Amino acid sequence: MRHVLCFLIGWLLLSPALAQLPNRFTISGYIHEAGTREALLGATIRVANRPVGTQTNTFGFFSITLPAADSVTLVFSLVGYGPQTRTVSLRQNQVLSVDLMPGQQLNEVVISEKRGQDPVSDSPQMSQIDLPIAQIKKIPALLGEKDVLKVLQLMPGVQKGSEGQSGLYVRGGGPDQNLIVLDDAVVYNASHLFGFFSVFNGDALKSVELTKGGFPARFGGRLSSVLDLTMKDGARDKLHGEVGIGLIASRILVEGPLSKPQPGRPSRSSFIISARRTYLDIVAAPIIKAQTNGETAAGYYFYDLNAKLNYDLGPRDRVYVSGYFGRDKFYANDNTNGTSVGLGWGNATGTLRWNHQFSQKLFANTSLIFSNYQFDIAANQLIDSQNRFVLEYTSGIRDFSIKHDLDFYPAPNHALRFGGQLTAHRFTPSAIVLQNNSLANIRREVDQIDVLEGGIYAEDTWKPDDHWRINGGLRLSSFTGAGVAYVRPEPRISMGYLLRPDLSLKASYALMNQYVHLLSNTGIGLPTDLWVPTTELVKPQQAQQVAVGLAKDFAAGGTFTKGLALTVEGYYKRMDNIINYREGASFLLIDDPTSARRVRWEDNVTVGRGWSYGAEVLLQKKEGRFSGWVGYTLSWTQWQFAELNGGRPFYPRYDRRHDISVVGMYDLSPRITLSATWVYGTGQALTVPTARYRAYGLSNGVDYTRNDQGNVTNVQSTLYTNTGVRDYGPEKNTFRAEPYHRLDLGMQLHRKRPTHESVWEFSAYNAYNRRNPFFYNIESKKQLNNQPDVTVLYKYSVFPIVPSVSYSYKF
Amino acid sequence: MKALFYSLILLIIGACGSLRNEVDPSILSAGGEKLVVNGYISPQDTLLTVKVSRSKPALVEPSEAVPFVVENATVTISDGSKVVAFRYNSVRQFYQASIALMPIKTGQTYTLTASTPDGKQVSAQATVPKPVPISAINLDSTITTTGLAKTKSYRISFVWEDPATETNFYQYEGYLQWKDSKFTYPIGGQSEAPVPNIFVLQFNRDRATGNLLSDDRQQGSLLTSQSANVATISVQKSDPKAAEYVTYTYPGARVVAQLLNTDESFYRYTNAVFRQRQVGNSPFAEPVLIPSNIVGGLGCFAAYNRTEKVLPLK
Repeated sequence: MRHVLCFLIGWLLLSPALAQLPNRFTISGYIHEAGTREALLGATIRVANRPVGTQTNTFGFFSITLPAADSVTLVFSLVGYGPQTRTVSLRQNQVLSVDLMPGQQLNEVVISEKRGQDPVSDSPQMSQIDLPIAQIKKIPALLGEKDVLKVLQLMPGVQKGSEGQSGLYVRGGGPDQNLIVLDDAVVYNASHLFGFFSVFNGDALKSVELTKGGFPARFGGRLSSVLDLTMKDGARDKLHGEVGIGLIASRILVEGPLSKPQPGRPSRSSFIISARRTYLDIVAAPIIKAQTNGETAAGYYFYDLNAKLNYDLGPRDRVYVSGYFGRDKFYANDNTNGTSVGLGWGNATGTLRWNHQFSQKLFANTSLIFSNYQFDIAANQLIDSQNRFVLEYTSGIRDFSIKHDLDFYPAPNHALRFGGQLTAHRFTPSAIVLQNNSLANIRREVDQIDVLEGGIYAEDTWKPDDHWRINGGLRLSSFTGAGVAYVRPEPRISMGYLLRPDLSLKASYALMNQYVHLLSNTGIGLPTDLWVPTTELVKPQQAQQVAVGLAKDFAAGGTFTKGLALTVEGYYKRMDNIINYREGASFLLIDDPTSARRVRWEDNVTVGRGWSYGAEVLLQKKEGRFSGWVGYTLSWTQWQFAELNGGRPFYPRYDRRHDISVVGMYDLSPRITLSATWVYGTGQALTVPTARYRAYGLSNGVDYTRNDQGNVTNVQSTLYTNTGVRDYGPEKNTFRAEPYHRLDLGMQLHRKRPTHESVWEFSAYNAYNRRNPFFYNIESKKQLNNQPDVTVLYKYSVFPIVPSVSYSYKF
Repeated sequence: MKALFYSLILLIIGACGSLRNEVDPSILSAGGEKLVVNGYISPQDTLLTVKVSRSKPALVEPSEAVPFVVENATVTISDGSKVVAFRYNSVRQFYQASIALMPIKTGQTYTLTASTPDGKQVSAQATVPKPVPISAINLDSTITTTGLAKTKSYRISFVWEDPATETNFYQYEGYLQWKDSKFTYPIGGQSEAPVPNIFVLQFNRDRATGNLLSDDRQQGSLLTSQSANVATISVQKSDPKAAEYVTYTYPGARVVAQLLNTDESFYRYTNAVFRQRQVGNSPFAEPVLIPSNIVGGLGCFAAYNRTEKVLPLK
């Protein structure tokens, strides 16, 4: 501990000292999108003809300190925007505000491993994926619903689970090991409609960044990935809107300044509000009603709502308020017998952020964060005229957090970040109210659990010379509550070495701890998945990951090679104390009300470890009319749990040896964009019966004899039979499902007018109608001519070819 | 634009194929036929009983011509010094051996072998655990009133002290026994002897394990069974002496609680069978693999030690 403190203090003292070198001046400011004045994150600032530069932070702020000079030329750039050049005299500190023009549609760039025109080879960061939202909107999607998480699944190292599911499996980790943050607020369940859609409405997002390894110290809390989503701030020039109509849902977005901007002086504030709702239930309601003579109402819908507001308090201060609210609801009401059943779940998050610029080199952000996830079941049934059965079940998690981050730019070759976060979690593993007049009222609550999770960190991105690029840092994570207390150091380091200006070797190491766990018994994004804390019986999960890689940027000269980049990475990850449901355990923590024993969720889990290793190749074409990428992943993942597979290692369901994705987009003309994706993945590792037999058990029924007096003697347990027991062979998951592959096609027709723009989109999901396996089942099949039934294996698929059409209008 | 809409409609029609497809069974590895042996021994036994059956491939053709039961096996048990052969009881379809030939002793390891004329041979070993006494039986009663009638329910549960130094696995059971002396019917002019009655107690199933319990994470503590309903008696609301009705309805009633301290293979096997049946055929649940200690085959050969405690109901 003491060493860590010395290190941190030394670092903090040393860094300002670097900044005090004589004859150096600082240029700082913000980069915005021209017109809307949306702050641009990840934009690159470079000194012309020198390998010196920096990037804007999440809030569009940059700072660069350079030796005094009569004239310095800076190049400002970002993917999708026209670059700008400014020449300034550096005899005193300068404040620069730069507006970048959104580029031509044809020049827009596809997903890049690193945002900006910063070459991938020049950064120490590896294993990171950025998704420009404009690109997500071009890639064909199931039923036309653009989905951030499903586009991420097309990147190497990130895999999907079952067909159509939005959960992410990152480098052998499960969806429970991903930290998903929206404007600093954790989103605990990112699924709509049982995982077929994710909760993120692309319209409201500004950026999406996924880190799958080489984690910088500012990130912590999960083993496998950090998905950082930033909501748009809202346009400051005038009112804009967008309406989208799809097959299953409609969207609306409105953004604009809160006060009227004066000529030459943009508004000091802006807002954005966007909403989405499905309408299957509205369409189906009259049909259901008609078929049941008006007695039954049933349906399903989901909606989500994003809103954000920001206000400039002055040149150095800005506040943001943002929130997300989403809900899924399934309901069925029957008037004839007074029965109603409801199932609902959803997230709510809220973030209040305050940016403060202490100086040209020191930028601070403070956030107050709220997050809540809740799942409810309610059933209400009239048993007879007097008695009613009522069941209410709730589980969930609620967070309050405070977060403070400082960005410090003492010198052009140092970018420091330090800060901390403290979160108060309240877990409600289950709360049940059962009411049944014939029994007494029963109220059984598994106690709410309050815990505190914290983390402080310091990191530095250091460029000691023209060859080395280093990001080093340390995070101290802590957890107290539920009878336990932990403080754990988490060292992080990423290094890059430039062999040539466009080719670098990289290596990274990261140790991650995870103090909250997700109990999930299906691998499908069900709302019943339950978040639970670390306790005396369940230790924090821990992962260590090393990765090595190579990044190559191809020459910008050729038409084909322009914006072409290749990254190759190999990784090894070890995960300890990961948890899983025991075989056959149940999610609903409803215990026997008459029993003295309480159900503890800990009794339903088994603790184990896992390891994953593999290689990932990504070849991307970032610029030009034709853009896209080819990704390939070769990986092995194994788990070992004391109570699964007899304690022996096994391949989990989502172990995938080969995973290929090909994504292409082509701007045929300014009016027409064509796109296609093709994916291939090794089949899931499943457990399928090989034989059936009768298992004879020892009965808790009794066998007895009577003596001559008729008294019972010799009460014995007997052998009794269980028919239809299945033998799955000696090892779990040795059966491989057929490989998964699918082609999606899309076409967008754009119509641009000076004041508005409309887009028709046609797409086909699973264009060649491949019957991909969703699950296998053994069933008996009737035979003709009164022949006895045979037992056969059936493969079930979910989606055949799914064509869709959608329309959007933007002003 | 028009052509596009037409082609979309064609696509939709094309999509209406089946989403359930039969798969060529060759993608499943054939399990082959294996011998399945089930036998449970304890010092409290009077007769050693073993069942021998066979497994069939999961995707077998319909003919049930080959029965599950195996009737021509040679089954032996050995304690290391002597070997005893079982005899086949074709009525009960079990292989049986008298306890007199092979007494079952605490701490002793026994080897069971079974072979068939077609050359299949399997074997398994089991060691008899120590007995664990039942400390106490708890009797509870609850009264529920509906209208004019009162229902009085008796429930029991029982506790025992888990030996701290070893890992233990338990199965608990119990029965209610009473003499039905009041209602005897003369048959052929002769009064029949009182008929004894046995009612097997149904314990609330521990959702994960049936009537099984391991001392995992509660080593050395006082363990409790789930509760079981013993008897339910309806009495008139005006009558306060519900208790008397018990002795009237169940004369000489006594509850016998039984605790089986089992070996690990018994617990793992029984637990897995229970859970596999609970999961049923659901394709979304993780399949439950059934472990086996039968070398070369399937099933379970296990040993246990049983203790009892009696609670007379008054």
